[in-house]
Amino acid sequence: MENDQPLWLTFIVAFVLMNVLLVGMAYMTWFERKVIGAFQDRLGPTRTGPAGLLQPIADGIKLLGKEDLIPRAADKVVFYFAPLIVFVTAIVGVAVIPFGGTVEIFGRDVNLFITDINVGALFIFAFSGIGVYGIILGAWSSANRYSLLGGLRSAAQVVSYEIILGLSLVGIFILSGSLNLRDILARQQEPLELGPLEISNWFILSQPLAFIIFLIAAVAETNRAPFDLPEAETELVSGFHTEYSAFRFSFYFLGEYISMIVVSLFASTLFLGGTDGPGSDRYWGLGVLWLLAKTILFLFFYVWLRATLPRFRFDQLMGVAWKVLLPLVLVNIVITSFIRLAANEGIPTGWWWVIGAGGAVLLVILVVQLFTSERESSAAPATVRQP
Amino acid sequence: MPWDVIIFYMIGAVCVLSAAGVVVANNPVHSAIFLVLCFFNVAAIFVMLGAEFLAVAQIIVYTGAILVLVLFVLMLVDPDDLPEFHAARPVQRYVGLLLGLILLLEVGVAILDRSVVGRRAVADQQEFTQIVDLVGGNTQALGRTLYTQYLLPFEVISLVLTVGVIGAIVLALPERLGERLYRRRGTISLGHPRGTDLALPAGPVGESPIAGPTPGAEVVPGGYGRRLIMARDPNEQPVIGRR
Amino acid sequence: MQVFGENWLVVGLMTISAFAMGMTLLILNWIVAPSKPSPVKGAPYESGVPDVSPVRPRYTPRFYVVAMLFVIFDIEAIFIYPWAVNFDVLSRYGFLAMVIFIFLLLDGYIYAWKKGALEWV
Repeated sequence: MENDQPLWLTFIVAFVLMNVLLVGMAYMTWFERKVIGAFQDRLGPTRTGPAGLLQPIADGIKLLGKEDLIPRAADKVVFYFAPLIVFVTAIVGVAVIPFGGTVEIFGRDVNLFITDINVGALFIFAFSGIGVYGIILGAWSSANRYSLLGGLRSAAQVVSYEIILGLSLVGIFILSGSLNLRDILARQQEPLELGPLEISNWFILSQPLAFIIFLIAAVAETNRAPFDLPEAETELVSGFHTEYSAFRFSFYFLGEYISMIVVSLFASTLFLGGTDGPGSDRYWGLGVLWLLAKTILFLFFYVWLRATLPRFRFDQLMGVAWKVLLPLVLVNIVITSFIRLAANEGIPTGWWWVIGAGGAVLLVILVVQLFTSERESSAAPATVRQP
Repeated sequence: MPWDVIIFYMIGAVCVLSAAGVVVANNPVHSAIFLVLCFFNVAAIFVMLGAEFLAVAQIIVYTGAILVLVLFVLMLVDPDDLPEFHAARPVQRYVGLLLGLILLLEVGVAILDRSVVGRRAVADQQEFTQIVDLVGGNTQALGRTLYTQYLLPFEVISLVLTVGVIGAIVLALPERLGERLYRRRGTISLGHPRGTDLALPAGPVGESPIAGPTPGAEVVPGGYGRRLIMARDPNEQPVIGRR
Repeated sequence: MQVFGENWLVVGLMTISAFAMGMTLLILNWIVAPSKPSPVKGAPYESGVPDVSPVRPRYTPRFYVVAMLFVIFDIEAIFIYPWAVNFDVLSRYGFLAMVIFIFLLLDGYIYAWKKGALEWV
């Protein structure tokens, strides 16, 4: 740890942050309804408070007052705790996001980050990996076929896109040489000189392909439209939370929105320089504001997608992950590492060229084989399944 | 007792108890949940040992990937097709017991080897921490060892993983490999005891907005839901009252 | 605190307090909300008709294949991270090692693709 701040102070920061996140989540729903309203030429919520600003509170109170139904056939204990898993794992992910350095508040040095662990970026993947259990166990314990199918879909989708999400960041790890989000942030604040211009070296500039892939995978990872197959109401009632009601239902809702916010914070930190922006080196408050502005940009993008795109089909969804994005991330890794190597050691010479050419030829052979030989794929007729 | 020792014992206790839960639980899905808990606590122990990368890898690979696979399989397989969960054949039971004892012995030897004989991988804990800090952290230290000293095993791993891909495809998609043999494919079960997720109770009809069995009609024992079967595989004869 | 720093302790505390927050909300819900269970409310949701299809619906084993592929590529990713952060140190030999590793895995991946394991139909 960089400075020895007492544990209770860190915990207070964490607790405040968690509550801010909850309120932010509530107003995210308001924001989404307003923006979608605007997209559809409506007003969105207007009745509760000015511009409907009290709507999230009204929703929360309404959900608190609803009867908490438990299906007779449900596995009670699992049914009780599964939504909490989603909620807890979503909210703990924010622990590794840096909101700034060490600043002075009320005459005391306070860290504007909760933890400074070496594996920060992987930490978020680990917790989103556990979050899958909340969905799959909730779906299973409901003893309802729509729930189970939704849960299985969700798990298959989340795990497929988790690989893409993880591998898309490898380029950043190569360039920054660390998994620590604070190091990654510091690395992006180094200036990049473009002729007379001097700008911050955000990773979106050096990793544009990774950025696009990360965005797509993040939308799928959080089960949002157009990848919201697990809760496709046209086919699955409402997917894995069909049997959930009252506040137990709202934990799934909370989890989804909180993980949206956390993923947006994560993306801003990784690709858009996080707290970096004009004036952020002088006033820490400005840094936090910059981070929030970038996050809201991402959240707006999420809502925009939902307002614009129709839902994918499940086979399309899995096809995009496994056949398009996975090869692309691997290509991104190889290209990034090659350029980095060339930058570190100069253009490779001699037998390295031979190895490179040989590898390229082998790759071409593989790809040609893939697309020319007779494929036993989706074209395989259903008649194979004869008794 | 220092507080980190107390935390260690708490984590260890949860770990052991949940491991016991894996064995004791009646429902295979409950066993899987206990296993998740166990792995999570093992990751916490890794953190306490300073192995941060290993802890995160443990969570990502074991709880995030392998147990998801286990859960999928549990939900795909009809529990009726499985052997009785706690009534394995005597041979299996004894072999299992024997393997467990051998494992226990191995762990015991490993612990004694370190604590009694006093052999240590790194002589000085402080020195070790300094080395790790010097290269920039746990992940960096691990990577440097893995990609220099253990390069060959690392490359062999990719072969093992490729074999894994092939194995999965052979197991799950036999018809894609040209085997024309018919298999019952794709059974998933909710994992609940038979019949508990049947529809409405046979309670008073008046309360339900849905029409129950009409009075006078033949009432099928075991609920009227059983005989009406929809959405079956057209190639398979419905077998009513199997087993 | 030696190796086991406060960094992780606060993560544990956060997990516990998030759990406590959730439980508080649930208990509040339990106090405030009415509870009048009935057999119809307890029945599985089936769009308003009695549940008549077999007790165990059948799903496709493709979920299993996806999970298996996920395990493989997840392990690959875990191996790539320590390589990526050490890239500058490992230099060209590290690069070559990883290219071979990815190439061998790509072999399995292309096999899976050709066998149609990536098609979801």
